[in-house]
This record gives sequence, structure tokens and C-alpha cells, in this order.
Amino acid sequence: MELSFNRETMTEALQRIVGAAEKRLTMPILGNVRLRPDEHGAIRMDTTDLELAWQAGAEGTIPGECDVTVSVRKLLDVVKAAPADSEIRARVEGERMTVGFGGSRFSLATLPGADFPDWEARGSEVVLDVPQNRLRRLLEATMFSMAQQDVRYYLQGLLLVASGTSLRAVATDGHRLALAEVELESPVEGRVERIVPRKAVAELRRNLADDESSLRIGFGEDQVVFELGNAVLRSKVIEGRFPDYERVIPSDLPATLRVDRELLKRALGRVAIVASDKYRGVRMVLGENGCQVMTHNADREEAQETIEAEYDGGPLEIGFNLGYLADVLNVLETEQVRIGLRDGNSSILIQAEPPGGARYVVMPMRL
Amino acid sequence: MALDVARLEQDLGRGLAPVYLLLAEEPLQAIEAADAIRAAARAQGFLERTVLDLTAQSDWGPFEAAVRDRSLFAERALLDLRLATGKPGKTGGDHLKAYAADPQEDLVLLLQLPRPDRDMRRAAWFKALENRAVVIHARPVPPAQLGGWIRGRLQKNDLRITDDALALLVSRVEGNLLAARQEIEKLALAGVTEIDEAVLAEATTDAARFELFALAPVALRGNVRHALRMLEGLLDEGQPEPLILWALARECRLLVQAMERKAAGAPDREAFQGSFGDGQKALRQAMSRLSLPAARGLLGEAARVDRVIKGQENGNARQGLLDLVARMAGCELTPPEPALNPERV
Repeated sequence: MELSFNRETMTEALQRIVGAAEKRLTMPILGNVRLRPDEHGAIRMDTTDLELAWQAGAEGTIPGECDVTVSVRKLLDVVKAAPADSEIRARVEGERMTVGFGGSRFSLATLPGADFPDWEARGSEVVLDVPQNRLRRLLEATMFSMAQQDVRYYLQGLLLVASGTSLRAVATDGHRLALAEVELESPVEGRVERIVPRKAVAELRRNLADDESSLRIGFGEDQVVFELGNAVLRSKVIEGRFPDYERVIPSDLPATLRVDRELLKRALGRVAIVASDKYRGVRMVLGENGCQVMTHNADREEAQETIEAEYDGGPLEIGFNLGYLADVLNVLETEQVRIGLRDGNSSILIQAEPPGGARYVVMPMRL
Repeated sequence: MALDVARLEQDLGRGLAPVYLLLAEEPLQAIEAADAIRAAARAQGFLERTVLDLTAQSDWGPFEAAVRDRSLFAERALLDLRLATGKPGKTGGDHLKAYAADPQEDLVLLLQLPRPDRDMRRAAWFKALENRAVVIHARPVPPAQLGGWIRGRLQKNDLRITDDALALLVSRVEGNLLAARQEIEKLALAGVTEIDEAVLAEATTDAARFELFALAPVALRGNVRHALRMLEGLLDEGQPEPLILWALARECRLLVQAMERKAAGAPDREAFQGSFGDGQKALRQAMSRLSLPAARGLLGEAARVDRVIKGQENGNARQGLLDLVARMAGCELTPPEPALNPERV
């Protein structure tokens, strides 16, 4: 059986789908890509780690009876090694696949395609279209707040909520929360909520283009499907109830701090030098003189920085995890940020100034 | 304040202490005490729980983070810290001392420690925490009190037990409280209110295992009829032949050992090493009846049955076991078998 394909299109497709292949091989075939013809005779490729699955297509010739799997990482490295824009030929014989271009020959081990774990594609209850760059911004604005290795498995993912003309993303690790929305062009019927696992979110983010090209999201009962042009990402969803996030977003906050985003970010970066590396706490003192940030560590070293800021509340002292503040300041894009506060023990609300768009809730630390 | 496990529940009802030191000398009592503390914390609004398993080599950053970080979803939290070695090391000790000096109101620290030794009790971190803490020492129940302990637990399940059955149950669980709890749970499911020996035999552990070990002493006592009936019962029940042989051979070995050591003038304690109670009494009886060569002959017979069971020698394993038990009881059952056994061919 002979296959042929172009180096460029194949590299692009393989790079897309390589992320689903397992690195720790519990089943050797999960490190492989399945190659077979699609309904138009082009090459269809599949990878999966059993939690998520990629499917991509590439132009080329492939015999109708071909159904074979080969290590996706090795195939990608081999294809990338070929000269630019070259035509690559591959021959499947017995349990070997020989890939060749110019004077090079690679003989790769294969496993039969029939052994590749198949994913049942199920119908989606709600389908919506969203431009890729807007979804990308939505993910970037929220995904950093997802929990890592938390026993509350349902926090290790991003909650997507579609209702009316809005698609909302919420992430929280129990100490901080990020919420952002995009406007949809056409309204969806009903309301649907699904928790998308961390890895799928990262895979999706990695593959979103920074342009207006459209992406279709299908919400099924136990899976979500993202269709991007000629590639499809399917992921299982996390079962479980996401905490009541609306309850923890503070409202009617009596005090507001308006501060230059870059200024605050740099000040935090400087005082971080002596922050205790264990819990990275920063103390913020607010009053008539504006805003002071200070840190200290176990060796009694200290750093202090006064920032010009506009503050309309009474004197207040509050502590934070430096990382939580820095993460938010990194993803906001406006020149100024607005921080709403109540007292030293209550959560704060960080937003762009003027407000609108993403909302960030951060719980203070015990100092 | 030091508390024993029995009084903990009462104390928890009066409100939570900032720190609990749980000294887990006995696993069941420790598990139950920790459960009670966690349940009380949940009931009093300490809804979030962080579990940390640390040692002297651990990075104690997560401990500090757990102390400092507040949760968005729960105002109060339980920090469930396990120190399985009982040694936090220098860094850990400093963290614990610092926490003892400045405990957080909206945090309960449950520190689970192993059996306390002198080093632990004298460590600065332990002393510092002890001042703030309720210290619960989960001790094993002494053998003399085990009966009362089991009876108390049964009463909580509305079960009564006869004295004989209680003595039997105590001897079976041998101070293993986890096993005792399991037996009690099974009894609670048995659907009776009054437990006597018959109910116990039916409801609790594989009575078969009990019988397995009872077989050899009965044989050594010279009770042929009873011993053979027990053996038949075990075989019919499907007890594996090698297991039965093992239990018998073990007693035979103890018998030979005791006789040899006695002959060499060793004191009783040394001679009967490895045997207790009933088993030892049976050994003494067999010693008065059997000669040393006869006892050694039993071991030889056991070895032969072993070969038969493993197919290295012709013969019928069941018959071999019956012969062995009969000989242990002092009775020759059948003449040696013919060399060729049709059943095996």
C-alpha cells in the first residue's frame, strides 16, 4: 500500500493532533496516529488519550483499504525532517511503514488500525458558532484560574455556560475565580453547562487561530466537540457540580482602588524579590496616601513600594498571594484596573477600568 | 487538655478546639476519633478540608499555604495534617511552632501522629501545640477490658451477648479492634438480639478457619472419632488439602520439638515455644501417650502425604490425611496402601 502527501500540510495536521497522544504509554497504541482514507479519499488522522480525541485531515493519496497506526511523534519528526514542500511517500508492508524522501528511508513499526480505540461520536444538544480569536481571548482570560491536582476534580476544568446570546467561561481553584463572556451572533436555545477538562482546554487554546475564522462548539451529554476547519477536537466532560460561582462574586463593594495596571504589576514584581518563597504573600496598605505594597520573609528581609493610586475608602490592610494578583494583571488589557474591596477578610473584585468584560475574584490571605 | 477517645464525642459537642493532636497507637480508635472530629467540624461550618501528608523531608510550603490561603466557598476550614513518622524535622517543627503561637480562628488543625515516644513528647513543636490542643491518645484496649468494650459496642447496636459467646469472640479477635468491629458489624446484620455461641459460630468469621486450627489439638488429645469427623467436614467443605496438612504438620513439628527439648532438659517455656492455651494442653496430652520415635513417625507420615498431594507419590491424599489424623490420635486406621492405586493411574 502506498501513501503520498505533502510535507507542509502533513506537518501542520500532525502538529495539531500530536497533543492528544499519550506520553506515558499505558497502551502503546495511544501513542500512535491512525491513518485511513476519509470519504473524499484524503488522509484522515486520529489521535486519542481516551479522555480527548483529535481528528484532522490532510490532502494526499491513500489506498481505500489502508487502516494503520504509527507513532505520531516519530512520524511528525520524520515528516518535519524532509526538505520544505517536498512530496513524501510512505509504503505499508506487513508490520512496517517505510517513509522516504530524497535519499532518506525510515522504517517505522505499525499497529493495526482496527485496534485503535474508537470514540463514539454522539449527537450534540446545543451547537453554537464563535469566532476563533474571541474564544481564544475568552480562554486566556480565565484558564489560568483552573485548579491543578485538586481533589475537587470538578475544579480541574473550565466551566462553559451557553445561554441566550452569551458564552461564559468560569474557572476557580477555590481561592480565586475568573469569569468572562463572549457575545454570540445568534442565540442558542435553552441553557447548557459543561466542565471541560484542563488538558482539552490547553489543546484547544493551542490550536485556536488569532482571526475571525469560525469555530463550532457542540455540547453533548457527556462530551464537547470543537470543530476548527479541517480538525475536530472531542473531549469528555467532567461530571460533577461546579460550585455556585455567582454567590461568591462580591457586589456593592464600598471601596474602590483605581490604579495603573503596569505600575502595580511592576511594583508587585519588585517586592516579590524578598517575598517568602513558600506562600508568596504581599501586604497591601490602602489609605489617603494611596497604595503601599510590602513583603517580608523568614529572614526578616523586607521590601516596600508606594504606588500612585486613587482610593476612595477608609484605611485598609489586606494580604494576597502575589501570584494570584499577577495572573490577573497579566491578562487584563486596559491601562487602568479597578479593584473593589470591603475589608481585610473579604474577597476583592478586580476588573478593567472602565469595567466591563472579565471579572476576577481573589480571596485575601491570612497574614 | 488530654482526652481519651470515649470522652471525645462529648467534648466535641461543646465546641471545637483550635488544634487536635491525635496519637494513633491503635488504628481503629484513631480512625474513629478522626472521623468524629471531621464530622463535628463539618457540622460547625468548617466545610472545606485540606489533607496533607508530610514528613521531615517534605516541602512544608503546602502547609503554610493551607494556613494562609482562604477559600472562596467556605469561610472556615479543617486542616487535616498527617505526620506518619511523628517527626516533622527542623523546618516542619518550626512551622508547627509558629502555628501554635498564632493559630487562625477560622481554621481547625487536626494533626494525626503515630504512637508517641519520648522524643516526640519532648519536641518543642509538640509542647507548643500541646498547650493549645486537645490531645487524644488512641490506646489499644487492654485484654481485660476488651470484653467490656465489645459488649458496649454491641449494646449500641441493641445486641446482647452471653458470657460464653463474649469470651469466644474476645479470643478470636485477639485485641485486633478492627477485626472486632468487623465481627460486630456482621453480628448486627445477623438479625438477632441475643448472641450465644451458636449465633456467633454462624454469623462471624469463617468458622471453617477456626475448625482448621482446632483439628490438630483434637487429634493430639486422642479423640479419634471427633477428629476424623472434623477432618471429613473440612474436606467436604472444600478446604484445600495442602492447607489442612500444613495445620496438622505444624502441630506435629511442635510436638517433636517439645519432646526433643524436654528430653534435653529444657524448661517448659522453651519446650512449648510456639504453642498456647488449648494447643499446648493437647501437646502435653500427646506427649504422655506417644514416644519420641512415634512422634517423628508422624512427621514422616505428614511428609509422605505432602508428596501424595503434590503428585510426587502414588496414593490418595484424602486417605493419607485420614491416616495421619488417626495416627496422631493414636490409632492405626488402614494398613499401608498397595503400591499401585487405581484411582491415581
